[in-house]
Amino acid sequence: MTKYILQRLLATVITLFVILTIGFIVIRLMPGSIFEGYDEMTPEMMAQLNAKYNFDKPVIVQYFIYMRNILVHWDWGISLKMNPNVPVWTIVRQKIPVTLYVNLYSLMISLPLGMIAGIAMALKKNSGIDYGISFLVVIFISVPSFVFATGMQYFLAYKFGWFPIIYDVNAVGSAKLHSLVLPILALAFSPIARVARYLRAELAETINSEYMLLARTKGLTYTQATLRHGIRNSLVPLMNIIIPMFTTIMGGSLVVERIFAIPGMGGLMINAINTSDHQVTLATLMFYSFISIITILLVDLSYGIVDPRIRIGGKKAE
Amino acid sequence: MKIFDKKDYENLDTSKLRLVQMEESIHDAKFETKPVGFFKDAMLRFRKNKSSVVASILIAIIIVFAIFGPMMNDHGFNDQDLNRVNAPPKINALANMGVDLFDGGMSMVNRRVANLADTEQYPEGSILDVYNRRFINGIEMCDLEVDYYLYNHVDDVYWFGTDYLGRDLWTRLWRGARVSLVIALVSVVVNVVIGVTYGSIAGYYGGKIDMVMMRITEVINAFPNIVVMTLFIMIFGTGIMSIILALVVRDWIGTARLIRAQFYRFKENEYVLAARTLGVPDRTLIFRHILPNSIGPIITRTALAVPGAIFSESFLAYIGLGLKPPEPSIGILLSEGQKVLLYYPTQVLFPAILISVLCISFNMFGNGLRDAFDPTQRGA
Amino acid sequence: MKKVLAILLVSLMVISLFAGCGKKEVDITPSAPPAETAKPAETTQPAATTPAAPSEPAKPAEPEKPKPEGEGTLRFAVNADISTLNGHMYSMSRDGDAADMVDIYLYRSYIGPDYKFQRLPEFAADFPQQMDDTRTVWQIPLRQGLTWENGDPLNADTVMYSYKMLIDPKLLNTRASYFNSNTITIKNGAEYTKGECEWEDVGLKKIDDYTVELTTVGPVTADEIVTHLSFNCAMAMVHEPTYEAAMNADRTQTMYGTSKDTFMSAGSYILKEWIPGASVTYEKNPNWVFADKIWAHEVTERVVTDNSTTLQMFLNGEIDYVSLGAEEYLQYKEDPRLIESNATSMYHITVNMKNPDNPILDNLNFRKALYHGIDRVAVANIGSAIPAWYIQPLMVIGDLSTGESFRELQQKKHPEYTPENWAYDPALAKECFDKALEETGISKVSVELLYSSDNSKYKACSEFLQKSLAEIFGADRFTLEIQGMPNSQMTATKKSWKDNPSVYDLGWGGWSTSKIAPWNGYNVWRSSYAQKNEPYFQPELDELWVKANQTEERFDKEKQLEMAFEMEQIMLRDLPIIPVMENPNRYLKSDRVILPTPDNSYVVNVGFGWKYARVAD
Repeated sequence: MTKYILQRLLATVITLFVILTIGFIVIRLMPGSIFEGYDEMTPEMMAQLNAKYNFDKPVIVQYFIYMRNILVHWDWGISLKMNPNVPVWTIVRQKIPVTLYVNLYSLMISLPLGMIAGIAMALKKNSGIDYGISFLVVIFISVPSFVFATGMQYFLAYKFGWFPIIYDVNAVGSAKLHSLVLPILALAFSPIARVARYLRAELAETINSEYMLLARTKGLTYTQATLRHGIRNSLVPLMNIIIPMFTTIMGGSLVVERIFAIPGMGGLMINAINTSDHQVTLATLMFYSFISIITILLVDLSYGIVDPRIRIGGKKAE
Repeated sequence: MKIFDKKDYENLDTSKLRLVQMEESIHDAKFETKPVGFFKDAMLRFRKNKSSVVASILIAIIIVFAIFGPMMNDHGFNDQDLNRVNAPPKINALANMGVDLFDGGMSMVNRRVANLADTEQYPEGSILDVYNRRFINGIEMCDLEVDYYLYNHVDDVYWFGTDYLGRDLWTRLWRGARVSLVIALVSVVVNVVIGVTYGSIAGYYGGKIDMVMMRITEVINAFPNIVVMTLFIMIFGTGIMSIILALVVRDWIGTARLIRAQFYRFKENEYVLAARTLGVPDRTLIFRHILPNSIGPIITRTALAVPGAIFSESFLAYIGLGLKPPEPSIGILLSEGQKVLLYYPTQVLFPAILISVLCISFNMFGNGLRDAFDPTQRGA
Repeated sequence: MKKVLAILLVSLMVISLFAGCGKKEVDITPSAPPAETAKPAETTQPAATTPAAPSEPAKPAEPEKPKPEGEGTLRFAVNADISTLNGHMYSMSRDGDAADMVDIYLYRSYIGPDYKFQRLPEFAADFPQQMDDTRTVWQIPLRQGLTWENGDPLNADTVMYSYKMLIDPKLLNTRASYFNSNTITIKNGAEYTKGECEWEDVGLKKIDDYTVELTTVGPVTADEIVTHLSFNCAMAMVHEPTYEAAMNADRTQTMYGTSKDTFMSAGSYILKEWIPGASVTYEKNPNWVFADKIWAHEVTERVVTDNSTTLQMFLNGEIDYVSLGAEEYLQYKEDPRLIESNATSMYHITVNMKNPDNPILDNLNFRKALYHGIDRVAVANIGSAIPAWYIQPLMVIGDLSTGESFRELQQKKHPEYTPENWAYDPALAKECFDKALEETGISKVSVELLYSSDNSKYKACSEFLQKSLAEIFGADRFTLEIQGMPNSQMTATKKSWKDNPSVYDLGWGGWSTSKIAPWNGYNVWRSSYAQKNEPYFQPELDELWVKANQTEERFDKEKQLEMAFEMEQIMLRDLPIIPVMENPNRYLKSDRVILPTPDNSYVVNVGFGWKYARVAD
C-alpha cells in the first residue's frame, strides 16, 4: 500500500511537470503579444521590454528560466497586464479563499442531499417518488448551472429580496454565507443530481443480489438491509464521480462567479486568457490541474478503503 | 373409504382398462412456442416497459419533425427581414382559443400613457392589455401588452416567432435539431468507442500500463474546457468535423475511467479465472466476458451523453466558436435565446423544451435499454 | 394512482394555458397625476460650479432636495477592477478613471462655464509661459501650498521625480512614450529612456521650488503643452517616498500603486479602501485645489462584470447608474431616467488589402462595392446604433474656440462631401462589383468577415451583411463567410498580418480617437504606425499628417482643419476601412443623483461628471 502511494505521488509530480510544460508551450503559441494595447509604444521600447522580460529568447530558454524560478524561489512570475508588477502568487493567493469557500460548501451540501435522494429513489423504485425525483434529476443534470444562477438571482434576490443580489465583500461570518447562498445552491444542483442518479442505478442493481435476499430473510427490513449492506457496494462507482465532481464544481463556478460578482479564481482564468497575461494563465492552469490530479489520486486510493475486493493497481492475476 | 386389498386385484374387470401405447412411440412433446434469442428477449422486455416505449415514440416524433419540419411552412431558415425581429409566437387557431402563449403578444415596459391613444404608434386593436400604471417624475408610465403582428404591420404568422434578424424560429429549430442530433450521435458514438476500449485495456492489464494510461488522461483533463476547445477550433477551424472533435477530445475520459473502475470490480471474479485457465485469449476475455457486466452504466452514460453533447455545443456557440452562421443548431438557438431571456423568453423556451424532451426521452430510453439488456433479468 | 396524478398535472397545465380566455376591454385613458409631484419633468438644475464660485443648490421648484455639501454617497458599479494605480504602467482604461479620482495633474479638463469642456491648471498655477522666440522653451509655474494626503508638500521636486521615474531606462515603464513624444516631443526624453544620455540632458529642469522648465524639440504652442501634460494618467504626479519604498533592489520594478498601502492620493478624492477584484471606496479630499466642486462625501465602486446583474442592482436601488446594452435600451427607451452620450468610437470593417490568398481585396472597385453595398441604416438599427459613412465620429470637436464638432464644420464648409442615403447605393455597388470582377478576372468571390463574439450585436450585423450583400452582388458570384471569436483573439489575429499576410480578409474593428484633435487621429493609418491593423501605406496621408501635426503649418487653425478634411477624404477614397456605424452609450441614471450639467449632457474629455454629482435625498 505504501509502495503504491509513493508510486502515485511520484507519478503526480511527473504529471504536473508535463502539464506545466505543455501549458507553457501552448500558451506561448497563442496569438497575441502582451504589449498589444499600448498604442503609443515605440518599437525600440518594445524591444527593450522584450529583453527585460526575456521574451526575445527562444522558447526553450524561457522555459528553463521559468522552471528554475518556480523550483528555486517559488516565483511564478509577475503579472504584466492584469495587475502589473504584482507577483502572480499574490494574485492567486488572494482569490483562492472565496472560491474554495463556495465550492466546498457546494460539495458539502450536495453529497448528503444527493445520497439521500438516490437512496430514496432506489428504495421506492418505480413509485411516484422515484419518477418525480428522476424528472428533477434529469433537469438538474442537463441544464447548466448558470441558468439556475441567473434564475435564482432574478427571482429570489431581485424580485423577492430574500438574498442579496451579489456577493457582499465586506461581510463576515453568517452574513457572508447569506450572500453566498445562491451561488452555492446553483453549483450544487448538478452534483446532487449526478450523485442521486448513480446511487440509484447502483443500488437498484445490488438490491437484486443474493446477499441482500439473505439479509432480508434473516429479518432485516428493506431499509436496514439497503443502508447497512447495499450502500457500501454501490459506493465504488460513486467514488469515481464524487471527488472529480469537485473539479467540475470548480469549473462551473467560472460563470457563476461572474454572475454574482465573486472575486474568485474563475474570473481570473478568463481575464488572464483575454488579456494575454501568460504568467497568470499558467499559474491558474497549474492550480486547477493540481486540484484535479489530487482528486483523482484520492479517488483511486479510496477504492481500496471502500471495497476490499479490489486490489489497487493489481496486475493480471497469474 | 374403501381400502383396497390384495384380493381385489385378482378379479379386476379388464373392460375398464385400456392399453395406452402399443403403436405410438414416446417422444418429448414439441415446443409450442419458438425459442427466443437474446435480442428478442430484450425487445420483449423493452416493450413491456411503458416509459421506454413512450420515450422511443417521442424520439421518433422529434426525428420526423427534424426531417420534415422546415418544409411545413414557406419560410426559409435564413430569410431575414428587419421589420419583423423578435416576434412572439403566434398560432392563429390557438390564439382564437385564448391561449396566452401563442397570441403574438409582446410586453413593453415603461411606456408613456399619453402616447397610447396615438394610432400612428399603436395601430387599431394592437393594444391587448395595460397594467402597472405609475408616475415617474410627473409623467404617467405603464407597462402594456401589444399584439406584435398588428403593432408592426406583419402579415405572415410565425408559429414559434422570429429571432433578432426576423428569421422564422420554427424552421430554424427543426433544421437545428437535425444538425444537433447528428453532431450529438456521432460524438457520443466516438466517445463510447474510444472510452470503452481505453478503459478496458487500462482496467484489465493494470500495473504500469494502467499507470501510464491514466496519467495521460489526467494531463488531458487538466486543461480547462475553454482552453482546449479554443485551441482545437483555432487549429482546425470550425465546421461540423472539428466541433465533433472538440466535443470528443475530453468526454471519453469519463467513460474510460468508469469502465476501468468496473473492470477492477469484475476482473477478480472466478469465472474470469476459469476462462483464463481454459486458454481464452485476452481480447475475448475483455470484450466477451468482463465488459458485458458494465453494459448498464455504459448505456446510461451514453443515453445522457446525447443531450450533454448538445449543451456542450451550445457552450461553444456561446463563446462564438460554434457552427458557422447562418447555420442554426439547437445549441446556437439556446445561446442566442439566453441573451434575451428576460425580454423574449419564448426564444429560449422552445429550444429548451426540445432539449428537455430529448433529455428525458433519451434518459428513459436508456433506462429501458439497460433493463432490457440486463442479462440477469433474462427470462423475466 | 400514478396515472391519476399524471392526468391531474397535465390538465392543470392545459388549464393554465387557457387562462385569460376571451377578449378584455383595454383602458388607455391617461389618469390624473397624483397631487404632490404635479410638476413637469423639467428639473431646474442648479448651475454647475466654476472653479471660482460655488453656487447654491435647491431652487424651490425642485422635487429633490440635494444633501448639503460634504454628505451623501455615490454608488457605482464598474465592470472591471483597477489593474494598477501607477499611471506609469497602467494597462486598462479603467485605471484612467480611477486615477482621475485620486491623482493630481499639472493640467486637466473640467466642465467649463457653458458646460463645454475647459482645461485648467490644477497643480500648475498658470498656463505655460513662453520663454524665447524659438518657442521651444517654456516655464510652468506651480501652485503653492498643495499637499499630499499625508501632508507632504507638492512642489517642483514632485514634478521632477514623477517624470524622471516615468521615463527611467531601468524601470522601462510601458507608458513612458506619452511623456517623451506624444503631442509634443521633449528634448532627449526618448534617448534617456534608451539609456543613451543622462537625466541632466533631458528637457525638464527645476528652476526653483515652484517652477519647472520644459524644452521641446521643435516649436510648440502653450495649448499643445497643456494637451500633452493632461493626456492620460501617465502624466499624474507620484509620491516619492512611497514610490521609493515600493521599489525592488535593483530598481527595475516598483510596486507603487498595487494596493492601498503602496499609494498616496492627492486629487479630488482620497483612496480609502481597495479590495482587489471586488470594490474601491473613495473619500472627498478637502485639501484639493478645487475642493468646492466636489459635493459627495464618499464614492463606492463595486466590480460587477455581468450586465444583467448590474441592471438588477440599479432597479433595486443599490447603485446610481447603469449602462444599457442594445436590448435593454429598447426596453427603457422612453424611461425619463435615460441619458445618452455620443459614441466615443467609430465601428468599421477593416480590409486586409494585401492578402495574397484573396487578391480581390486589393481591388479598389471591390472595396467601393462593399462601401456602397452596406445598408448602414438597417445595420445600425439592429443594435440601435447610428449609421456612419464618415471616419471622424460625431463627438469630435473641430474648433475648440466655438465648440463646433468636426462633422458640423464639415457640413458647413464642405457639404459636397456628404453622400446621399449614408452612401448606400445598391445599383452603384453592383456596378463597382462587376467592374472589379472584370479588372481582376476573378469570377467568384469568397471573403471571410471576423466579428467579436463578446457582443451579440456584431453577430447579428454580420449575419445581416452576409445575406444582404449576397443579394446585391448575386449569390452565385459572392459569398461572405462569417467567423466569430473573442475580442482579444480577433485583435491579435488582425494585428498579426505582418507575420502572416493571409491571416484574415475582413474584420470588424472600433477606432477611438482624440476628441479634440481630429487631425491627430489618423495616426493609426500612417505607414510608420507600429501597431497597424491592416497593410495600408499611403504616402499622401503620411505627408499630410506630418504637416498637420508637426510642422509650422499647424499653427494656422483654418489650415489644420482643412488638412483634417483632406485626410478623411483620402481615406474615403482609398477605403482601407469601410465605416459602418457609431455606437452611442446609453445609461439609466437614478433620480437620487444630480449631474453637474443641466441636461445631463456628456462633456467631451470629461464625461458626465459623475464625481461632481450631487446626492439628493
